[in-house]
Amino acid sequence: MTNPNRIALLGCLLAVSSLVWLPFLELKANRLVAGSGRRLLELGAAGWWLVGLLLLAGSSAFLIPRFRAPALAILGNLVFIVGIVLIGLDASKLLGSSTLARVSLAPAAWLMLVSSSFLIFAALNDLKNIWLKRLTSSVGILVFLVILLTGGLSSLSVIREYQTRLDTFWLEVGRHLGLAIWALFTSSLFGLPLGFWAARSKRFEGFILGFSGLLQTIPSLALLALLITPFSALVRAFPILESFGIRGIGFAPAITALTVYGLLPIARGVLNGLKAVPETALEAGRGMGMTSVQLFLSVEFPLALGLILNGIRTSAVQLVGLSTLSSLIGAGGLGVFIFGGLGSAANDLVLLGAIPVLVLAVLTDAGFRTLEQASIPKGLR
Amino acid sequence: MIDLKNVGKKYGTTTAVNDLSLEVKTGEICVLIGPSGCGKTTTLKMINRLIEPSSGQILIDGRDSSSLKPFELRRGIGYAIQSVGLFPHLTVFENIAVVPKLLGWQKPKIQARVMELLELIGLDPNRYADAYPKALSGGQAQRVGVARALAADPKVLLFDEPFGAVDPLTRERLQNEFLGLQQRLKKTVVFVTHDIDEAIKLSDRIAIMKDGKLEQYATPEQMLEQPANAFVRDFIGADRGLKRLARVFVRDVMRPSAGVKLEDQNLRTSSVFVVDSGGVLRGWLDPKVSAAQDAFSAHQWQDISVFENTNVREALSRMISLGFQVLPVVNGAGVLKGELSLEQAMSAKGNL
Repeated sequence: MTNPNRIALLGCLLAVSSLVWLPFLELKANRLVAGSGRRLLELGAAGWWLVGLLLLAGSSAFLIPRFRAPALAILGNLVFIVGIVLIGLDASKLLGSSTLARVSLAPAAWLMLVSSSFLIFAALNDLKNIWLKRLTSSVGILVFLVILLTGGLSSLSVIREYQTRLDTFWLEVGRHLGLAIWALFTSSLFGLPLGFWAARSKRFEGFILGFSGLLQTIPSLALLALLITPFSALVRAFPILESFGIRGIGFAPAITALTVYGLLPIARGVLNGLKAVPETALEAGRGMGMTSVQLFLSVEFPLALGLILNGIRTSAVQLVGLSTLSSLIGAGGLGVFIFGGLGSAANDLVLLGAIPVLVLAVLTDAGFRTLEQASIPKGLR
Repeated sequence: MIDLKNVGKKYGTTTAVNDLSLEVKTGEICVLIGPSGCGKTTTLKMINRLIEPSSGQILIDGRDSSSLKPFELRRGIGYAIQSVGLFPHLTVFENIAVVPKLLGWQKPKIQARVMELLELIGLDPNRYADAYPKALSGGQAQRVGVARALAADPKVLLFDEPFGAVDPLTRERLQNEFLGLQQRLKKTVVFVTHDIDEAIKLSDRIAIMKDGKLEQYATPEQMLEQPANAFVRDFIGADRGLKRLARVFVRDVMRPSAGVKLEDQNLRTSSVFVVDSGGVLRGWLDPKVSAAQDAFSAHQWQDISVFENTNVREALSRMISLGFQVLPVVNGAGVLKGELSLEQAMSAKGNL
């Protein structure tokens, strides 16, 4: 007998036991008061379908790998889709016609979603065919998007929060992206040459590495607050700056702080990339009569590009996350919802900010990873 | 011609190369040799100004090398190094095409030249032109390194232990190929090595260095016969007689041999070697066994013979390992050309 797939088995046990014992959805009389939990099986007989699917998935963990991978791929996606459908149906049933009441996800629902990702992850590990892998990892998400966009989840509190803030939501998403993109731009503007100089001079390299370590230890929140004073002073001294939109709070100090954090991974990426270029290739290039510019463009840069992009990716993902804090000094962004929600103890408002940040970070990471892969010269793959 | 005149290199207070004068004649291979830190690589790199000399003058074909920009100078000089330094992100074709591209050659000319060079170094252009360096064996990479140095047909080549990083068998093959190439191309070559056998085998002249100074500059024969001082004698080693044999080729000392045809083994004439109708070596007859059919032992010619262009030192070593007193000598196709006896091999040591 082959060993059972432990990831899949663990996921199923986790989900089944939580569905039986823990609340699946939470009903609140309005968005601020504490709610009461409902277990999945209390919400209707349809819940047994989900439990049944999970048990089936759990037993398929014992199949031989050839059958196990497709079984887990199908069942993992089914659990996810049926789970989402049940959340949507039960939520609207629970809500009834009340306009003030709110329904949000409770632990069992979250664990069920986590468990379905365990199943899909286990399947991806076993699957060999790249297209089957892509299909397995995307079907659930596509169906989820369809359900979301057709209003299947509109009874959920997060969606309610979204609907009541439709206008500001996309504005803040835009601001958030704007902050991250501008900060990435300025970070690259300083980080790329810094990394280049560090690779050229031993002394500067030590300085860069030391300084980078030091800056990373400053709490980001503190840095944001600290920048308010010098920026205010700057604007007082040169009032003309205000006409460019520079003030003690808002966009300018936010970008400055973000740049401080963003430029170091970029500088390090360039430094590591250039240092990884084999010395022998450089000597050969010089010996054949390349000028230093030719050597950089045709040897150093193509060989370092992968690690340079790696640094930019790290920086970009960090900036998407850090931009959240910018709302605290009035620069807006998705932090507005997170900190607003925290302030008023409205968890669903926190989610309305946190989930898009997560999605943006994941998409940024995936995008840059693709770019990185494509940039690796064929001879090095 | 490369003419080094009182060339020196100092790093702070340390002297890497001290007042070195050396003349490498056009079409000759000059091997720079010496213990680690003797300044041989520094000397080589001063010729293409990867290291700038602190003093002295270097003339290449009569022209002062400092009168050109370093990168212009280097484009006219082939350069190959021990670690090869192929660009891993470029194909074999693109690697070889680097200097022609830097010189602004037209595409068809580059294409033709690279293909010609791949043929020259014995790599099938169809198979290897678009391969990346990681797909090459060590020996193939070294060949591509040499081809890259030859790409723009420079008159002068600088080789920094180009065969140092491969196994002994491959190294020997690369050395022989290089000698074959040099016979055709007649480049002016400066070649750095720390292997005295390589130096004796490849060089027209050896420059032996110690602590940045030239100890002796002479042909290998002269150096083996009359080492200038105790250091040179010690560096060459005790077996000078044997090393001398590396400079003599089998074809110059062998005697002719017709061989016995396969079908008339009974006629044991002058030779113990058996050939087929095409003259290809098939085996040998044991003279101590009288019955003809028992006397014949069949062999692949590769296993028991040496080539005409093998040097006598290697032939002698072959004799000892095979236990033969007479070796068959063949051409590249295995056709029996002659035979080499122990006495002949010994007589080749000349007047040492």
